[in-house]
Amino acid sequence: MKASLSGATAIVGIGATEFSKDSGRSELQLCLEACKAALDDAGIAPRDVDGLVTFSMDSSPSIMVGRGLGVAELRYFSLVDYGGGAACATVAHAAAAIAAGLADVVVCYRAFNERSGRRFGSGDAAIQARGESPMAQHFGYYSPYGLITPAAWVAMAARRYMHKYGATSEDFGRVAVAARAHAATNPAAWFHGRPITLADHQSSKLITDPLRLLDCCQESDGGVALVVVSAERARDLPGKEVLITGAAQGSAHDQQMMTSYYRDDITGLPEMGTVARQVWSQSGLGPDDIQTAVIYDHFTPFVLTQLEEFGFCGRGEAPDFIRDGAVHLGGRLPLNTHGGQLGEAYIHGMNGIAEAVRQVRGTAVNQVPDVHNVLVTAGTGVPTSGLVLSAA
Amino acid sequence: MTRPQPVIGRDNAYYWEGVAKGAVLIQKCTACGSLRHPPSPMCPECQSLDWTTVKATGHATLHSYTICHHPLPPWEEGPYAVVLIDLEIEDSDRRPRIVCGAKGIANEDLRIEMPLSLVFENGLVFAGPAREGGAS
Ligand SMILES: [Zn+2]
Repeated sequence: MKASLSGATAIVGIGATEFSKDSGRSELQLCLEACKAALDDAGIAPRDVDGLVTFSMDSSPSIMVGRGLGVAELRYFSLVDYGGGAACATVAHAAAAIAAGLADVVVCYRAFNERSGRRFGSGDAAIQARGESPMAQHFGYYSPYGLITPAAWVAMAARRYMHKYGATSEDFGRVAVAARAHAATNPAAWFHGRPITLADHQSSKLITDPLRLLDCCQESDGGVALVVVSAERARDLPGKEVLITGAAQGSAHDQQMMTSYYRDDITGLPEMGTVARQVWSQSGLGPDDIQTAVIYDHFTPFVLTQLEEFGFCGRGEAPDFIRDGAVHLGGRLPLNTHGGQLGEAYIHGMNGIAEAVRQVRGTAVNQVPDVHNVLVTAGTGVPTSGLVLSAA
Repeated sequence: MTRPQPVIGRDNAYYWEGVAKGAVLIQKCTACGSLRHPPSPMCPECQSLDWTTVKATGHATLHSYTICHHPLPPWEEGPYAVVLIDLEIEDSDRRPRIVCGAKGIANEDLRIEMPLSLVFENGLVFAGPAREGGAS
């Protein structure tokens, strides 16, 4: 593959609101606060922004964000589909636009009141899907039977993974224990100062068997924004460059929205395999070159699957890979050092990209030594995306 | 709030009409013979728009399941199972999958690969204990 995108652009600013359960303000305001913070971090004036990218699910229209920021003109604006699968793709779209000359300064954003407003875990969206649209018909294969929550959609695949590979609930629990350990020392995390044990995980209530409460990410209010410019422009800015060396989206054979149950084998995430092949090829890197990773953790079982898709271990081997602390600080591959969406906040994956930037800059609260390259992934069970961020 | 009803459109009406009459129908490409589910207007194997349906025998095996505890929808009285099943199709070695509810099996008795039979009720299909001779 021609690696024209790799290293051509950089993330030069990150910004966020506080992460809470009730922000007390509008999603648009959260968005604008995060965007302004990211631009301040980058040292770029808001009027210089000429591109905006967000999720198709986001409620803040690019023109209202542009108006609030006082941008002179927008030359590139794009929405990425499929829920949390869009997170890293916002940066991929920004990088592609800048590399193609369609924009110079692109802000990627996601902001919502996901806890105090519409809660994804309620099942309401699936229940209320109606009409002739293909996606409404899709949800209609499941809602009459009560398969209506993201946790339940993941649980169906997780149960088969357990059957095929002999994985246990404790194997899932170790992912949560690591996340909460990292959140415990991150003052920005909702679960700051509140680590859990594997016993806590095992005694947490069943949400949708085999998933327990502590296998499930939080519900959060907040916003995160990222500023992307060319690598050339980044060199003239005050901060340390964080190069985008891999950026890709992926959807695979017989892809469904959260219910890819019709493939011969439902224990993998081949759409993430599509992402993995691309980001490794673009960056010229592989699993051994990654010092720390932010692996999308809406539900713990798919963290294991993603480690397998990226080749950190073989199929079905992730439970062994993580068993002895490999994903904790000091381990072979510290994961989600901000606490992840299980521990810091659920901002649809965007807070994880910010953490990856901090790790490359060397400014994370749970800093991993000598970080050169960080892998970041987006939402799983859906068409998804990923990034490799690297030091210059 | 009552149990949601199927969402029916032009592309999938055959499926829900079949279920309402007591049969699970699976789309079969007239051109190349391949089976597909969920419904789609075009055959992914050969791009033909011509299709017919074949009827599942009523025998199935459990591919996976989850038992939903929380949130409990108002139409359910306690933790309930949702199952993913491999359907037997006569004269075919393909085993298309569907998601449905479970009926007449205790949640704790569910085992992956266990045999099941289809049960039809109120316009929906459920997996029940295996019976001799199929379900329809
Ligand atoms: Zn065909």
